Amino acid sequence: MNIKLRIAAAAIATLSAASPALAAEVKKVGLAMPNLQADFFNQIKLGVENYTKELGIELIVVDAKNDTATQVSQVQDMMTQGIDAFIYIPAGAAAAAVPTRLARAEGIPVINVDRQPDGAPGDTFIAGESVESAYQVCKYIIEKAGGKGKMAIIHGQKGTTPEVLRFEGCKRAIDENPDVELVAQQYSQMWSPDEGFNIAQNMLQANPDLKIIFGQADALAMGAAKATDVAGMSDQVIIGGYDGDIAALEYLAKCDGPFIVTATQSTQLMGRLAVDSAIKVAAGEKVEERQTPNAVLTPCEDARQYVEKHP
Amino acid sequence: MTPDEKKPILTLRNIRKSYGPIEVLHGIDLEIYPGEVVALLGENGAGKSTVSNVISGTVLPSSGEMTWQDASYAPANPREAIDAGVGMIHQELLLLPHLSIAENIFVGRYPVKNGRIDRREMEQRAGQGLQRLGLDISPRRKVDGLATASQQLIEIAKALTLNARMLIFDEPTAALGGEETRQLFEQIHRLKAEGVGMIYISHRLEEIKQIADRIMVMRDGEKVHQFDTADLPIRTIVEAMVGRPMDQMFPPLARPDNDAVLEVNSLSSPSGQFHDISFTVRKGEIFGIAGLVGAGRTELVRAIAGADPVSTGTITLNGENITPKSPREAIDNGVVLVPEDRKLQGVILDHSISENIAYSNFESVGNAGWVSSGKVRTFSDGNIIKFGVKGRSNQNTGEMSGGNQQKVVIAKWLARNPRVVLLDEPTRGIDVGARSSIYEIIHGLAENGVAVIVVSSDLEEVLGVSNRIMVMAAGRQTGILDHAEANDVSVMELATAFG
Amino acid sequence: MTATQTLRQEKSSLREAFSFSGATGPLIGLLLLCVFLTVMTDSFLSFRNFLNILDQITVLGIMAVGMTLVILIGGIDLSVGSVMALAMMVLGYLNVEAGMPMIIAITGALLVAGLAGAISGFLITEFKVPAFIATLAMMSIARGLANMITDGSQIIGFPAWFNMSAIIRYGGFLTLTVAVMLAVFVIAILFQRYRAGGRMLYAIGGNPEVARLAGINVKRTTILVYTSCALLSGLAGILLAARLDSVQPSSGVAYELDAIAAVVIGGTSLSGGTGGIGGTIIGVLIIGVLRNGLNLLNVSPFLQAVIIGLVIVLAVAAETFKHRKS
Repeated sequence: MNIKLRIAAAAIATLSAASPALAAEVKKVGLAMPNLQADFFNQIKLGVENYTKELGIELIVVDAKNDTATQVSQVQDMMTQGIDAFIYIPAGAAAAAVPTRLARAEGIPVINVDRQPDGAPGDTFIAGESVESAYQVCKYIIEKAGGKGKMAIIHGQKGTTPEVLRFEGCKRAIDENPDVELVAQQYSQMWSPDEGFNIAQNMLQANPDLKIIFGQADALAMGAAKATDVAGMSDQVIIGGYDGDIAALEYLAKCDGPFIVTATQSTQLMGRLAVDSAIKVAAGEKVEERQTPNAVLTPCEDARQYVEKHP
Repeated sequence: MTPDEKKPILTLRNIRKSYGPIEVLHGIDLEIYPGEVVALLGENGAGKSTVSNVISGTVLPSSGEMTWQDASYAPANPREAIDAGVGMIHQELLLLPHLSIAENIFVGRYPVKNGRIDRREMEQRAGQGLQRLGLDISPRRKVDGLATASQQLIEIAKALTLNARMLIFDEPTAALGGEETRQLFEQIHRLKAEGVGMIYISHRLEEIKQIADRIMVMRDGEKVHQFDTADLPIRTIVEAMVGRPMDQMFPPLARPDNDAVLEVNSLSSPSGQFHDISFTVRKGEIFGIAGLVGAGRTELVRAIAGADPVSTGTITLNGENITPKSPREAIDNGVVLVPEDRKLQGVILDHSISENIAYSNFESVGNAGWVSSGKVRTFSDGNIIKFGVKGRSNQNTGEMSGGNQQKVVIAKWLARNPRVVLLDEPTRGIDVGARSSIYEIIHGLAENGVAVIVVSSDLEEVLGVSNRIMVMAAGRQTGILDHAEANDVSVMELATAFG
Repeated sequence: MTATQTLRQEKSSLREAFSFSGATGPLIGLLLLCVFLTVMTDSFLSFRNFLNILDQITVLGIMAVGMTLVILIGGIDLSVGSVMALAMMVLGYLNVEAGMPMIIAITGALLVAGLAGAISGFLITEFKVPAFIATLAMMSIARGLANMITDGSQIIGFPAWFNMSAIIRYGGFLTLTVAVMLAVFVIAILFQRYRAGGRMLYAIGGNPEVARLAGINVKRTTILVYTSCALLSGLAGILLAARLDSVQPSSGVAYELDAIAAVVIGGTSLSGGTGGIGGTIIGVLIIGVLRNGLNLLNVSPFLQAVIIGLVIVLAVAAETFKHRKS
């Protein structure tokens, strides 16, 4: 895994060395964020911000606060400001196709990150490889639990791309272990730790013999870990997360608690990748329709290195 | 008690007050001696309130001096006045309904022991205050639901626990009935005996005669008269107040026809506030309803106007049953009410005169539901002139005097040419000058063939204007008196008769 | 009445229709804001941006009109955002899932919204539930129902013309959705200023007892006002669905606060009885221009929230100050 990452980084380095000539085409980039509460999105934003600064590109960032209507208005305003490329992370499950259409009307590149609207694809879609990584996280926690027992899943926002794919991957791991029984599933609205806490608390109440919890995001897993502590069940329950948030990695690095593993996404890398793709599309080059930087399975023993330097 | 033997407790010397270039008090001199009641009289706007506000620290005088118990006195705010021993009993009661009596008395200065409110101490002291006023209520009781008179006494108890040596009463009896007023006066006599000096502001001149030792009359910010006794003909006092001789307070008696317009047949309220009431009002008649507070008079006229429900009985108009289920039904039949509480039921204070008049006359100011603001203004201008309202169409009613507000309430109904007009306490809190013009309006209505019902706690008023008077006691009618046989004795006898 | 008099009167009532009496403070604020943004950005003062702003305020504008009616009678409606989401989900369900024609779907959505408002109004008048509580309950109920229709998922797949109605600019400037908003504004202003029913709202807000004794049917009017407010929320939901080309049950969260803010900025008192639609339109424009301008100025999203809060405080403080002076 680490080797793969290094190769990817090297590839990016070559790309960025070559890009200044092309960057003349893209002077202003618009970035539409669904929210700035989740660390996952903040990391992407940081990646884009740092990279555009390096390249001398002007960046406009807007935050939709999870409201699709707000996002459409913000994208309209971006178009008025004359951006040359549009990096789009749809807010909410409806993943409105309207912003993509607005950008198409302006004839500028559309780069989707993490989520892709139905029926209106961008020029490229950059998202972590969710199915395989989720499979690995679930496989890991099931193994740690001895391959059997009651399990629960805390989903993200219903219907969003990551929610669907992460469930798909985890389900595969569950199906491979017939002794694992999936007893509870609930959806969160905001992927937030307080939701994770409340949902896990109810699950533990209903299933006192619960052994395994998969939180589809680190924030949810962190909330679940707290709820397990409060219930005094931290010795019995094993929790897996996803994303590799800074806060989660710091928690994991201590290796002392029910939450023991996550899949660290290369979020900053995704941001850089998005900017590069935008420059390429604008210059008329071809880019892959789907780009999938791998997430790295991060058991708590490995977490320290990512705290120091997030991919 | 002659002034020479005693030193005044409070002296005012040449007190002036200006707002910008306009001077509203022109050099007022006044002495108050311990144990006396000085009545402060004058029409609205004469400066009575400004004087009492200067004394109670609410308003700072522009010039002049005050002496309080031989020391110079210049309160910068009400707190300082209260601390010095000057208490003010406001016309609008300022009690908190959901707190207990004791809490109300001590609000803002709760006795504290070990960092906690010392309830026992507080309730004990409040109880003493209540006893001193002869009020037999537990200080733990909530204020909500207490009779107005008792609430007034609580305000006084509050001032007394502050060791007030002087009290200012601003229209204390405006909301009280005869019996309650008598109770209040008893307390005032008791306070006099204790040496408390008092200033008493009221529009009810009959009361002044009973309670005051001296009278000071103000007009346009000046002291125009001072009487060293209150034993004067009312007419003398009124003439001093309005500054011109008055031939008569009341217009001549109305001359009704013989045809009955409104008939009320064994009317009862579901909550028992009035029971089995029957009477007839003729065309052009002024029909008075007298009784003590709580006799059910207000509830009765509200029911006739459709504002409150009735359980049994009927109301007929020219022989047709019109017993209303809502104010709208009564209004459509030409039965309108000028309610008791002007500020809460009569006008919307922060809306203009023309808006207030328009609210009950949408048919006259519109066309198929479309309201034209031009029509609204023309309509209200016409009525403002007709009823002698001192104000402009676009002026907020809240800025006007009580008398003018009342004229707006009357105007908004009379514009509809009603057949029956019910007036509940039409001149409460209104000064003498405006009062007589309201009597003129009532008389004019009767002259035009309207059946008028006047409810009033002011005995002189009911006796003065009514052709006949129905007296109520405890929700029942105890008799109907003709103008000739009605006097304060016969009315009071019926008002206190139970059964 | 002579001809000149008639003319003068007509003129004055015409002037009145376009004046924003009571909202001169906010109007000046709006103009200053526009001047400031024109100087500070190159993209603010353009026809295209002006059209964008109109697009962006459709939902808030229509909702705020309903909220104005409610606040004028001294009430409050916290359920508008949820009722909007419910109407959107009903629209999506009827049109996409059940395959009914759009006209039936729109009627159904409006009916459901209106019913929600009527229930709130009924609770407030007949059971004396405080408006705050009744509509708080409705906010929760409507949100729950909206989620139940599809178990929390969005609905996409409206006919193509539906989204186009929010995009195609007829005559070069008017999208169908903006046209609907402008029509709502005009009808609301005419109703509030010139219909007896509109004037009655002021009486009820000023003092319900005075209004009742003046022969106004306070209960019926109150129920109608809450029904209208909910109907307008439903209408806003239909326009939002067209704009987003999709519906989702989590739409409109916290929109009631935006609507209340617009009404208050526009000079309508929360205690009822004063203010009006004209002021509210200015309030809506201030919020719309401010959001648009802050995006154009590239102000950080966190700072934007602070600025909008400050504007609300400023508007209300200015109004109070003016009141005290007069």
